[in-house]
Amino acid sequence: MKYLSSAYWDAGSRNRNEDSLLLEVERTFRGQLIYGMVCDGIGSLEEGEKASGYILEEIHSIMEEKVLPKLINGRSLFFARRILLQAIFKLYKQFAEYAVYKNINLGSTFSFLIIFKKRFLIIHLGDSAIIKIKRNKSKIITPIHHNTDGSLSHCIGNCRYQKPYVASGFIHRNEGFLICTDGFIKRKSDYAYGLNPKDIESEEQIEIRLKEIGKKLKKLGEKDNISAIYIVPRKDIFIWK
Amino acid sequence: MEMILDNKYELINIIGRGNFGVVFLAKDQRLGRKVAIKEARTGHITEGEIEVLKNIKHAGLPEIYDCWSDGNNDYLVMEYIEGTTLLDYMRSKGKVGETKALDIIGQLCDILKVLHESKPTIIYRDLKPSNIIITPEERVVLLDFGAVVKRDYSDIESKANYGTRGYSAPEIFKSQKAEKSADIYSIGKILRELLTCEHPDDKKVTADNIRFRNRSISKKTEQIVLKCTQENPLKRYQNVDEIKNDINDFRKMGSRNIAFEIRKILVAFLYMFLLAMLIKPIITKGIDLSYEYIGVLIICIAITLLIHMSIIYFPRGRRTAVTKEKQIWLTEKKMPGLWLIGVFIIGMLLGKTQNIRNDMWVDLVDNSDRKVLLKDNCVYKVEDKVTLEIPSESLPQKPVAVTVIAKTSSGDLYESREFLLSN
Repeated sequence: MKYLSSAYWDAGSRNRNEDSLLLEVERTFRGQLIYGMVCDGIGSLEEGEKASGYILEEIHSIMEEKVLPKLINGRSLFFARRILLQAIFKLYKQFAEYAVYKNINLGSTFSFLIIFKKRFLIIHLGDSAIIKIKRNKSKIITPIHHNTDGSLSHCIGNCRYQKPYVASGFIHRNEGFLICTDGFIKRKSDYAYGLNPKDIESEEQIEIRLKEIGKKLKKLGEKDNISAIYIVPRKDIFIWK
Repeated sequence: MEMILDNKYELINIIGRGNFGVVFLAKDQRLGRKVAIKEARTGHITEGEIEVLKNIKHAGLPEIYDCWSDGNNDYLVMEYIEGTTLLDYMRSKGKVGETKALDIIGQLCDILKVLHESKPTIIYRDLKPSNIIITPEERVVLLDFGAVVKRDYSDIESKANYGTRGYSAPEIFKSQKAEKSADIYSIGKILRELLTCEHPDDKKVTADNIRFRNRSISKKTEQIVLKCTQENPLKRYQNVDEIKNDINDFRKMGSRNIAFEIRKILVAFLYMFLLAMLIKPIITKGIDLSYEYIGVLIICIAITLLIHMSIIYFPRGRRTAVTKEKQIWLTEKKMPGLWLIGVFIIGMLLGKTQNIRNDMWVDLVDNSDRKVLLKDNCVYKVEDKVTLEIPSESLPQKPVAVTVIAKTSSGDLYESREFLLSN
């Protein structure tokens, strides 16, 4: 199965964009491997963009060095899960040390999705979200980690260490995955309206649709940074002469 | 089959069938030569097809002799090309050698160059092995111009659904747009099929890295295939001359994959060694088919086959089979120094405390279950209680004894009782 994907990244009405996102598509002899992650640096704390960017760098290097070679050599996503959870634990520690050293508080949410051989794996922490879109319906499949007073309960860095939310499953033909920050989901919007997997035929189309949703959210008064990645299985075209 | 068309063409047999009609082998009774007659329902032999064959003369294109319509069907009389289609050629011969494959593609490029450089530009659109004939003299001829479009005319976005899944460029199915790059995509797919003998529409074909399918192929040829079959038309070769240049480069550089040749020589030596090992006892002791000899024979053959497989067939260095198709990396983080600082801090801590490992991680959590934000010279006021949290991951494998020691600003020490923790 091959996939179409694209990303949207906008600072909104803020001076700087504390969100970071990474979308990577690799072609292997076992099929297409695709992973995307969105990190939302906590705006109320210092160095939000550094926190989110650093997580991106770390996870990317771990994927490149440890996870991808093993997956290609036949290991399952369960192996990727173990390595990534270890990496997240290390990140917690590094953030704690860095925070003490610089006498600051910093943190970032983390939503990660990897798809390989028709299976997906989700690792999630914080109030960003992964949304499954099927036909014209959308469903947030990751928990939103909030305290009762609305403050963030899970994040890498400033929050106490808690194991991330992990989920896995099979990819179905007409299902798309939207990985996005809270700026994308705070305002109630019908994501599925423009991102119905059945209607998506090209990556340019995804890019345009995400931009349209971003514009719409800004019109509705969203001031936060808005970032999103959309991944959808590619439709096969059957035309015979 | 005895039938005479237009009072002069005696039909001999059917040599091809398509969705739009039938192609007959016939004999021109007046001139006594063999011809091919394409019969199709009225309207299915396009003006474009007739014009291409009428106006362009090339050794790789059949000559047109006649065309007419009887109301129900259109007829097109063409030069009869003796030979087999490339599809049958591949079926009978299997994988085609690299030099031979590039020779066929080179000839195909020459034909397409004539079409692409004609005014207006002609795009073939439906290049596939069944439309290519290989004559007994190994000459390549292109047939069936039913799908051609002229780029400078309004039919650039033809509504007709031409194209074959696997061979035709994806943009043809999406928008029916036909550019030169669409033909170049098909060339890449045909070259790939020639080298690997895998149909491009085969669902098992996942990677475009053909050197893992056929290890004798050189890197240059693989690059030609990959560049031709890029999804984005702008990333492909922009004209057939560029492909020809790369094929010529391949010829200049030497057509062989030297590393593979060395491996083949090694395997040949291995087989010679095996043969010598087997013959030696027969020469010295005569034919003695004892159990011992047969056992050695089986082990030697097994080891030789294993080494042969590992040298020639087993893919090695699989990581290189990964091609980065896309990377979107969006962040405002500019300096990559966070980890450097982290390493620096750990280094400092390790330097200070030689025998103590500073990897026991403790969080301070308040009574509303939130991590306490610790800053220098900041006193945290405890309202009800604070909790010290130690993640289980940070504990060593063996049980550890933990004691909490509190120190006041005046230097007074308070110590809790010792308790054991294990992961």
